[in-house]
Amino acid sequence: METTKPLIPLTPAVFYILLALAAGERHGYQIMKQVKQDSQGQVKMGTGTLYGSLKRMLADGVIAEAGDRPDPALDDERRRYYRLTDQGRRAFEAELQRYAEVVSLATQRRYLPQPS
Amino acid sequence: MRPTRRDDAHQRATRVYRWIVRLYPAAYRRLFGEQMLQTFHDHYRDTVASRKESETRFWFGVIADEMKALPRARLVTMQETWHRWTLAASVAQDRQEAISMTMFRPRLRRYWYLYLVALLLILSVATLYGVRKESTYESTASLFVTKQTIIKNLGGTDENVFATTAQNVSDQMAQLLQSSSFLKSVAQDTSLNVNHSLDDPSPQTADLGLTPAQGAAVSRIAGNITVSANQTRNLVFITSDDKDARVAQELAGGVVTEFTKFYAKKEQVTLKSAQDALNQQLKDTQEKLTKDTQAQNDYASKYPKVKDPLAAAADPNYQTLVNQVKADLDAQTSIQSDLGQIASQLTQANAGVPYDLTPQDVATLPRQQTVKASKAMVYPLGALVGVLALLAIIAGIQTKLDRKVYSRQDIEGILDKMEWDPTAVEVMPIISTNGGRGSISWEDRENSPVPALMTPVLASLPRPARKQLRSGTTQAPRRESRAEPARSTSYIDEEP
Repeated sequence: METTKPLIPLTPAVFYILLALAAGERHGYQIMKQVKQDSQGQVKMGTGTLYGSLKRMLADGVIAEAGDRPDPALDDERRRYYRLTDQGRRAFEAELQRYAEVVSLATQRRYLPQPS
Repeated sequence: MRPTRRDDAHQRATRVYRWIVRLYPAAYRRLFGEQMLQTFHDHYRDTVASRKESETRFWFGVIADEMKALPRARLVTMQETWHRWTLAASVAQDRQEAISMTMFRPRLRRYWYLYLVALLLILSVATLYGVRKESTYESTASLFVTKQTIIKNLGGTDENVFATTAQNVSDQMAQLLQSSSFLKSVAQDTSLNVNHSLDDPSPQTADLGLTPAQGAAVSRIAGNITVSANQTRNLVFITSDDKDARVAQELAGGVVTEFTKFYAKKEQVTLKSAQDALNQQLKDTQEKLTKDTQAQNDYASKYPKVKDPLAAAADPNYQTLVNQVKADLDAQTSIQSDLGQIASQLTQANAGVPYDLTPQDVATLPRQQTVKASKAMVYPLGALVGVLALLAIIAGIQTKLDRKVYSRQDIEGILDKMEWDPTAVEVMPIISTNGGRGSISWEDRENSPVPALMTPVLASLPRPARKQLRSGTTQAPRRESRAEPARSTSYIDEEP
């Protein structure tokens, strides 16, 4: 049985890529844009860094290629799309769960500012 | 339609980025090269082309990102390659196989011409350097050696009786050339002694050793003077070489001058000793002559009949006495003659001119440089040895590292992780070598009955099984069958 344990905790780059792909299949530039948007510009990922991360994630089996097709929003050039695998989704959920536990713990200990 | 300036900039940016992508490892480029270009193209169009960001800012971000990503990609690829090597070597297990699994040998085989060109280049550079460094001017002088018959007969020399006179002189000279004080004297006779810089400043300093200038001059000429003897013609040749033609000429002449002085002094001692010995012999002979003459006279007084020549000739005792006196007189004459000769030689030696040595050929000014082939060859040979040693070290290190053996569990784990199925070679990244075994190469894998990637595994199988697999008469080994005794024990060492 496959386990997601060794992948947790995820690096910020991997986490935001998984977050971007959680909504659906995306190609490289879409992932870049989504990561920047989701992290509110805190995680900036260039082309080199993006594909370095994608390579590791493909090897770890958390993402997979979803084939080539044109991006309707850009032009008719074909792009390679990526998707989450089951293992990737489990890793993503496990990481979210970990974040939730951390937030819950911080709330219990009143580390987080109370909503006014 | 004419392309706009913006289109030109876009194309130029894509060209620049294509060059950056070329810096990535080949395997990496095959996987992501086109995608990276497409993503860059999208990024550029969405930021610079749509004026959301300045071109300078865009490129600053790209370069900063590539400076992080590129070394990481290289490192990761190296690690992966290394991992494949170690795994292949572990699977192959056998030492020869392990060596062939390294990247070095397959690369050497595939790119042999590049290695050959590099080797030839290194050898050419080393040869040129050697030729340039060992090209010197060479000058030769010679000395004629006469035979020291008288002294030799008297046993007054310490020379090797089994060697010719010229050989003895040559040996003495070679021994002297090992002495730094002799070399200093030679250097003082040459133009190296600029402004008398090599002259001894004071007796105290000379006793303590060489001055820095003298030391430098001695270092320059040490080993550059060779001596040889011509056995049949009693000639001794002095050959000197130097970067400066004039110095080369002066060195050979200097050696002749200094050795002649040295030899004259030596002859003085030898001749004086011989003279003393001859004087003693003369004295002894004269005493004997007096004694023998007295004995003859006494006999004649006792037997007056011997005054008659006929009677004297008939008396054997008297004849013996007469012969004895005659022999004494002959010996006296001979010794006196030798003494005269030695006195003459001694006079010559005292004047600093050795009796037994005569300069034959004077050193001439060399016109052309000479390459010392034996010395010049040392450089390319050294380079060759160096290159081979380096290759051996690389191969040795790789082999040693590749021989790091995984335990059975390790290999099982790695193969599991790889989802290895020998029939689906595309997903078995054990090794990406060409011809890990025999003539099977990466390019030929499609046409080969046995995929190249399986070579390390095949190598570990018993020979008949390999044959069968190569000929395609049996199926490739499946992962499940690795537990079969014939194979499982042959390619994995159980670590304790």
